[in-house]
Amino acid sequence: MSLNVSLSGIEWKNPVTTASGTFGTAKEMSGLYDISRLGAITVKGVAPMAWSGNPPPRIGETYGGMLNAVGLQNGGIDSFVNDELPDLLAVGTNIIVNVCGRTMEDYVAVIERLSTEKVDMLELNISCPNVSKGGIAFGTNSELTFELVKMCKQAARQPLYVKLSPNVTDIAEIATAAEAAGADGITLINTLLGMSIDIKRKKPLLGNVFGGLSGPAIMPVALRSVYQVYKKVSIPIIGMGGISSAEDAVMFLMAGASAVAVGTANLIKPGIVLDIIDGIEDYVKENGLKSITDIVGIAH
Amino acid sequence: MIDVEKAIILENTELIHDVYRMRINSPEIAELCKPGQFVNLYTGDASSILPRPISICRLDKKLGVITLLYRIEGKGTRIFAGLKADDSIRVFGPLGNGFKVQNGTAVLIGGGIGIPPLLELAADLRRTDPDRIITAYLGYRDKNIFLADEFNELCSNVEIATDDGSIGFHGNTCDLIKSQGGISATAYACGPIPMLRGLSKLAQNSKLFLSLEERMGCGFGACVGCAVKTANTAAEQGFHYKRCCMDGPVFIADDLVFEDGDR
Repeated sequence: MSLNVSLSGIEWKNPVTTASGTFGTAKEMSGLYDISRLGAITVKGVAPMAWSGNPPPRIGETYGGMLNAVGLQNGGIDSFVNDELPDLLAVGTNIIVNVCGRTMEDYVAVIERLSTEKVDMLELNISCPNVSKGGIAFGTNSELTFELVKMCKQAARQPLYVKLSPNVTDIAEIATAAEAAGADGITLINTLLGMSIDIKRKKPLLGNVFGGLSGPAIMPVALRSVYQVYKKVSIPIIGMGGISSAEDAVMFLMAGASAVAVGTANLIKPGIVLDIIDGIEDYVKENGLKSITDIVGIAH
Repeated sequence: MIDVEKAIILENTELIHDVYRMRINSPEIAELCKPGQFVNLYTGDASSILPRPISICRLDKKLGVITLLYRIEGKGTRIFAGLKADDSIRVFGPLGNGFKVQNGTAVLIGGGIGIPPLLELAADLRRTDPDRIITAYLGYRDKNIFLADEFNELCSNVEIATDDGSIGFHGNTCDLIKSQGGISATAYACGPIPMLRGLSKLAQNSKLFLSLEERMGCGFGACVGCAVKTANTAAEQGFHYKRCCMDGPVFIADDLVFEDGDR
């Protein structure tokens, strides 16, 4: 019985990671529970320079989910490498760094800076809906996706995963472009573009007007996206979007994900990832599986 | 920080229209709390997933009881209002930095639902110095006031302002303070943004601590959702967003950048 998975040559002790932006830089969680039990930790987006993020309010609740328009606030790659990375590397699990930028050169600069660091994997964020330049602008156009991924792949020393947006006509087409450009894997989905209105103030709820919808409300869309992309690509998929139980995670694996990420649920219940890992283990035992990998894509 | 899945509610009563006092039995969390911190309450309703951050109004560490005051603002607080004694609720905390109590005379300024966190602070100020002069300025909309008796027990002097003049000074707390010659001691305040902005102009010669409120995602620093604009000359645009939940909710007034507008 094994929960181990292997993604692009990187061994994970179980198929569970965190979705970027819901786990800070891990230190927020490290005092609460044993984060080394995670298969991998995916940290918040890192840009070449510090980004201030969007004006508040940045958060709103919606039915069964939440909106965020944080806007990738981060301290920049130097601050990340000097102040955050040493503690992350000491955790004792794989570290995935989410890379963001406004231009192609931005992404390459972060990847080059990380090429000599001991991070295990990279996740290219071409899907954040909350920044005016870069981000989703790349991820909604298959030609730009191809061009950016190709350039980044040349600079990357670690496996490069590409995080896709569901805010497109055909997510499988973008995934195919990323694979053709040399991506080692696909991560999906990022948040769905949405909004809310504060009826007391008669204004959009979020300072940025639009934000990304996440949480249990988006899970069917996420699952469908993983299912569609699995049919079209042969590289591994890390599936996410609304996962808050082991059953949810198992669905993603069956749809074709080799691993899963827990996002919004981390904000609601610290430690839920451990319940999910335990629940997946129970599932494997109860069903007499030799390995969790036996069920990847089994629903097809 | 402790996550208590089922804390027992001892009391949940409406004090004035839409303002409730909830007393929760949670010795583990109460033991760790200090004034100005808050706890997350969860609705337990799958359609309403985000925590509601509620500041600590009163602590009884001996009995292990936390008292919270909240106003019905929306779906989550409406769910809380429907709970009764002996029901349970999920509580996570304590969260945030809390007030740093300074020596000497203290001025407390509270507006509306910003008043409750100042009560435990008043108790702490009194406990640490029985002879200390503590003046509280409490602002309400109208004659439906709450906690005034409790402040009277702990403070040397309590001044009340109401928007409609039905009790005490007719006007807001800033005007009341101005009419009494301003602020000349360490001040601690919590209330609506226009009040806090006004106070930061009034208290330029005194140390002023402001407890802020912002929409939060997690309450413990992971999501960076509850942004508070702080001055930072080193930053590209001259400011930096800090997290209300982790870096606050209490900030030194001089560090904050207030925007115009009515939020």
